[in-house]
Amino acid sequence: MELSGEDSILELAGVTVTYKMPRGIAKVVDGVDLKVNEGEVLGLIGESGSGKSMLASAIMRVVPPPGITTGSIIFKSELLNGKIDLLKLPLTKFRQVRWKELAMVFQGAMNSFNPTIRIKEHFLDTASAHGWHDRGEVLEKASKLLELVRLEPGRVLDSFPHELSGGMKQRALIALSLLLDPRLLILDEPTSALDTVSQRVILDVLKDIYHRLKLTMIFITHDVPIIAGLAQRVAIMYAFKVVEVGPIEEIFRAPVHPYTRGLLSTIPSLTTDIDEIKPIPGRHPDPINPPPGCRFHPRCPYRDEKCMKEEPSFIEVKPGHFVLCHKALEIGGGGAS
Amino acid sequence: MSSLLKLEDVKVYFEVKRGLRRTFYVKAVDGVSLELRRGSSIVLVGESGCGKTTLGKVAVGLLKPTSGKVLYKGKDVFSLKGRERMEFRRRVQLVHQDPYTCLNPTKTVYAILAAPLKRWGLVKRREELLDKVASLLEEIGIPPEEYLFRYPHQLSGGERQRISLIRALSVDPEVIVADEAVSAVDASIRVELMDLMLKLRGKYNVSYLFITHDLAVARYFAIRSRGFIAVMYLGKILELAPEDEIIKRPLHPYTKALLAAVPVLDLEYAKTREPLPLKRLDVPSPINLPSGCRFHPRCPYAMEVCSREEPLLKEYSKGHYVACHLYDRG
Repeated sequence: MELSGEDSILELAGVTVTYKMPRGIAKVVDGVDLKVNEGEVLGLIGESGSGKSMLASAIMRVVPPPGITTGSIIFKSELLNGKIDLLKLPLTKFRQVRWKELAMVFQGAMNSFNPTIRIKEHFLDTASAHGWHDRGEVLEKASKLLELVRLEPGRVLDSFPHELSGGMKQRALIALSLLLDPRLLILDEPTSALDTVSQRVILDVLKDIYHRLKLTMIFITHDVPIIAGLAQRVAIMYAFKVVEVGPIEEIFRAPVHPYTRGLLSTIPSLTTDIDEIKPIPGRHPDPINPPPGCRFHPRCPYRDEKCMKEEPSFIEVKPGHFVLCHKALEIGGGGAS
Repeated sequence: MSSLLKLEDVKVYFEVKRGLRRTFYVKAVDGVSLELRRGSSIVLVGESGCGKTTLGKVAVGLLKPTSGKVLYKGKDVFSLKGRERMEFRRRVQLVHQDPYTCLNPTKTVYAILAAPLKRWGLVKRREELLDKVASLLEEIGIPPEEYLFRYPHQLSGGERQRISLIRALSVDPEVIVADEAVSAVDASIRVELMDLMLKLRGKYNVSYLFITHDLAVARYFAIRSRGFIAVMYLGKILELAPEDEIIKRPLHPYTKALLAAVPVLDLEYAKTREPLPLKRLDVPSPINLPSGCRFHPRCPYAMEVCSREEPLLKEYSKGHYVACHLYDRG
């Protein structure tokens, strides 16, 4: 799979996060190759425990210890003039880039604010940590951003986190992530734990932000339909690896990897025929001793001898659509329904 | 079909004190009547804060309503005494919302599942207990050899939720109130969990009051169980209809707004989606409920009468009930 290019802002190659545990070695992200183009929204999809949040933590260099990140994460930085490997950057240098150029909205907005200080203090703290001390200026910017996420700045800035609803906190957190004008924004499950209506509001807000601020986004979720209408490309993770990447139209209309196909037909929706909704049999594997060969083979209806022994490598089934499966051409060629 | 559980004009008001003198009431449930019949199911849908969890607690007898009645097989639940009350306790079970907090973290799977069996004397001898617990685990597709002596933190969310489901079923109930039982797990295993609930429904002969905020989940469960969907908003049922009638032919403007908010896999549709048909995004406070129809401040079709008079739940077409002035005839 082609990993670098003029248009990419982030290039991951062989990114692996390893934990040494008494039971054995756990690779909770295992050799992920992925390219993110500048100005796109990439949807990163996977079940809980598939490694998607850990991958985001690796990019932000906040993998909880004693986890070790290896591989390379090349980021096109404007601040440091050119492409740099985030993993090799000294921490002091990395701190300049983090939040200024790449920011993240963490999972569970409810717990991301300090409950003892007002929302505006969060904005001021973040700014002063990056050497921006003009309170008036910071608050003016904060107000603009809060308006962008459809909150009333006058009310919200002076509120404590517990005074806001879940959806409002989530939107305030998105505003906070935008304070230093990042070029790449990672959103980790920004809509889970929210109601349908608040979810829809967040998605509308994100669309707005994307069109106005022209930044690059990585949107992590386990709820596939959420990214329809927002993402242009999708990467699917299964068992700590990316197993399929491609344009969203391709993947939604004609998924190739048997896992993706299973995933898309297991999601309850308002329109699909109820008999077509089927769960995927079996369980997601453990990071210690994952199945040999292709990791999906124990659950896969298409498996044969080769799948149980040999690890697959990426096959390009259509331009820009890559699949980690021995049978990709067979399945993809057969006209996926 | 006989009536198992019947709610009659149930109201739950919580007292809130602000300062020294002022007292307010949060109207969590404000006049709900529902009937769960044997072999049927009710799927209760609503946003957070609409009172659906409170209603679930009332249905299992954990919370005494401010006014109104809960009838179990025709008898008022809150005046049951002695043996009858025990019987109700066992026959109406609750599956909680959060699988991460509803299992005791210091107990093994075996201890968690054995406790209710011992409590109700459903196993005669100690030696049988292990076999019984093992057979319960097998029913939910969890291999007992590996899992019997695990602790909750060693289980996945889906496994925990299945264990809390079988724990409720193990005492042979007739009604299970499942409060957001599938919401905390991944989208990809929601269907699996619901299928399990439906499979066990036949075997254990239980009826579900299934509470969720997700309309797609509600549709699946209602069709599969041939039940009803009831839409709740700020303590009241606004619309009620069998199976997926509400999704195919929504009547209430609130139901329409909820439907418009559900994400869809269809890309063309996702791009051309219309903005949410709501005048205001945020739900009003349950302390100062709007006058008349409680949805009128957010309703794009609100008329003059809506702020004055509260609409009643009336049958619009066969089996399809709606509480909205738009459908007043005559």
